Amino acid sequence: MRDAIIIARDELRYWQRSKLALIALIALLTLSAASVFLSITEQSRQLEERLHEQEESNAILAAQPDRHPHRMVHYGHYVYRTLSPLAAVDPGVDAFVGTSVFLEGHRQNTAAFISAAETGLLARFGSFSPAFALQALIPLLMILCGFSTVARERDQQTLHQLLGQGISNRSLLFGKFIALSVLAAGALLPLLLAGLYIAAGDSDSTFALLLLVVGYGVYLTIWAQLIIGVSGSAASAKASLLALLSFWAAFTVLVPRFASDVTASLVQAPSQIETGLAVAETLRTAGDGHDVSDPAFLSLQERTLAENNVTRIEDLPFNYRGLVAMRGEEEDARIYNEYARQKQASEIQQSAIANRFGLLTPLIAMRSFSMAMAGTNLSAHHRFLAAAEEYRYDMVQRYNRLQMEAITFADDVGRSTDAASEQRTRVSAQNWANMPEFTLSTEPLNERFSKAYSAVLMLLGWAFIAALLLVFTSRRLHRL
Amino acid sequence: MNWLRIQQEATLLTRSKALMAAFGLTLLLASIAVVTGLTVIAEQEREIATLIELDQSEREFARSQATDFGDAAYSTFYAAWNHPSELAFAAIGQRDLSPVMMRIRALALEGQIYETDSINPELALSGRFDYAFFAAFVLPLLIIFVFYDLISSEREAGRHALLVVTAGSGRKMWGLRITLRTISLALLALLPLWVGLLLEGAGLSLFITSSAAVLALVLCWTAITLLFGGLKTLNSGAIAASLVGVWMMLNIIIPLLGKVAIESSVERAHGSDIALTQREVVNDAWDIPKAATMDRFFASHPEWSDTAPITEPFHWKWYYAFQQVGDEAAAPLVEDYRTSILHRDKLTNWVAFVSPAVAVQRALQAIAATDVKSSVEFEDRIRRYHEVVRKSYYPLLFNEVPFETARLTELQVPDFSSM
Repeated sequence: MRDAIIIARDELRYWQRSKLALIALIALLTLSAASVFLSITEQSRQLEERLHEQEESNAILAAQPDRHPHRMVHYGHYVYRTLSPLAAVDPGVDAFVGTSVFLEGHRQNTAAFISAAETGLLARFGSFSPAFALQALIPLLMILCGFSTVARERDQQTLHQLLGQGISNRSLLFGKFIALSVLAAGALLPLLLAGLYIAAGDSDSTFALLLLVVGYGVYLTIWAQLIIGVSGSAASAKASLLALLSFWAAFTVLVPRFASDVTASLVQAPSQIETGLAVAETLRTAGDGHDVSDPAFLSLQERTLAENNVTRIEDLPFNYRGLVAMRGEEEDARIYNEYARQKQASEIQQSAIANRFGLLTPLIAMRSFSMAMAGTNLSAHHRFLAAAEEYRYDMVQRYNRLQMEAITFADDVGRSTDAASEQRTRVSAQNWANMPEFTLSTEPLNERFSKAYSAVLMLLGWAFIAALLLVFTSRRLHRL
Repeated sequence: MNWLRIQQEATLLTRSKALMAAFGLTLLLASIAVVTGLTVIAEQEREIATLIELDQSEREFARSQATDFGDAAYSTFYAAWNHPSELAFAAIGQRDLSPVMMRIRALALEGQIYETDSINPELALSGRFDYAFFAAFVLPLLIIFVFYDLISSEREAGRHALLVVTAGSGRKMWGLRITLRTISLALLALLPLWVGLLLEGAGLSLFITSSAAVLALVLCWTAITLLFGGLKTLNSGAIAASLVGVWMMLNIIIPLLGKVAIESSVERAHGSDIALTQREVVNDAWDIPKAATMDRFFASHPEWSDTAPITEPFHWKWYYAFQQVGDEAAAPLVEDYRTSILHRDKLTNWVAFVSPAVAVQRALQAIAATDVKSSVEFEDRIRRYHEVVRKSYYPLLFNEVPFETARLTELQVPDFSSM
């Protein structure tokens, strides 16, 4: 162990002297610090904007005058997708999903305004986030610092000297590995410090952040082991560099894109319009909630009349139109939810397939774990859609219940011809002012973690393979 | 330069296993990128064809169910689509995020046009392996591999001085080597692109412009690589490492910094404000005197101002008038939103000046009509088409023509391809 520490110290000293390593080292530390800073600034700006828009939208809703409740069903409401606290660490799919959704009766709208579509080309270059830096850029800089660690000693014939002085193969490789790990730790430090600051006061986020730091620690360790292993096995420093760069290009540039392409061709999701047409066709079989005489509501009418011991809907103690509107909305929502469930199931299936490419590159395993912990993956987006739908349904049914209970059937029927009835069908604006606000919570950590177990396993698998590589290299070090 | 010398150099080239591997990889990856792009575009073509077909039958159904013209206009949708160009396969660009087809009706457009298509965000996050990506990210790495030790390896092997002397003029020999390697690499990278263009039936101008963009990138990176490769103070390893650092700077760091700079310098116009404004006007119409709405409508549509006044609590004339007034009220915000997107896109040009990766992707996307400008143009076309659609119904509504299903079947609304 003492030998290893001496070797590590020597290596760090060598980096200070070597121009290239020094530049890479400075770039690495600057990059990890800058990404943390820029990402926090950007995410808090985004969050503030969306909260502000949400407040405005709430205020507009609360300011609506006395109205017939069904007008409010169509008036609807805008809700905005807020960000999980750790989105600053890993924004995940944030730029690729809509930021707001319009909620109204009788239909489910898609989340609109995708920021990557508004940004254009540059959005596709990634995000300046700690996650992107740690997943793709830091490993490259680690390669530039570390490709020559062992190979250099071989090139300069100092390897045999070192080993001849009684330093064991294992100590030598371990020492070089420690030196690279110090680098990795330096790259992780800004994330840890800033992350603790962001997550302060929220135990779930703090714990998720610690898991993230551990995860990225494992990930960078995989790279460190790979770098030392290749550097120790390669015939020369140049060969080591080329091999490592090929690994890097394959792991971070090629395989993730192949994964998307292969997945998209394996599981084809129907387009929004195709789904829309299918929904429209199914909706035709459901009753029209605006029309009390729609045959689809015949059994509802018979049952309601019997329950209340009356023979005409006019004699019911409540406004039958409101009841039909509620039933109609229930049917519509059931149909929309079924299609939404199918669509989400196919997206989940796609993501599961794409994540299997984590067997081919540690980056995919890491990214999937990272987004899960940060609460910014596909499943988090589905959670937003579910929350928006739940809110929409509740809002619409509140309005329909108002129509049923606060308005008489006679007034409701007479409102289009009689001005006095029309006036009486306008219910108090207080009802809109009292509408509960839309809130979006982050999924509890244990649930997030339980969905990410396959990514954890893959990451550990990679760490195991990388460790094996190092052991293997240590055994062969003499012979090369 | 004689033929024999060229033959000698070519033999030398084919004997190097590493170079042959790099050339093979170039051909392979470019081909994969082309196949990927062709698959994506074929799927989009299929979806558009399905849409056009379904749209027709849906419209006939909607018409058969209509009980009056207002109701018909309400439930009849019209398809709009954005056919891919013959180069779209090479640069998918915005086509995987912005809608390439849409169905609209005579209601307020601002409530319809922002619907998004179904995309899996996790797949979009990784992005597609299209040809533009290959050219911007992978090709430079291959160029670095082919050229980084061209000069230094000879020096390190101690042959440099000897070579220069025996080959007569040193400059000529290096020139020949560099030209041969550049041409081989460029041809192998371009070949799959040309096959793709042939399959898509592209015209000559697309061949020339897209190849020129790729060639410019190849020359640019060859120059950068040789610039570092010629440094006498660096050994091969240090040259390769420095070049990878430059690649990372030009391909990742500068574009990301550019994005951050653009995002913070351009005021973001909020799309949702448009929808909010339009909704306010449309809904307020129910609470204000009908004449107020009609006056605003007649101001922009004077041709209908002589039609009979509205006395009923509900009339389709008034209904479609307030839909249009809603769109008109949101128009300034729409313009702001449009301008802010185009402005940001324009600023991306500055980033393209310093990043070849941005430049080549921008060029290919512009030629392929898959860039931001093209998706904004598609939106403009939808706006014009929407005007055609709603105005087709106006004579029936404003002249209060008695309802007959036959009149609907006669109604000729041009299809989107005329836009």
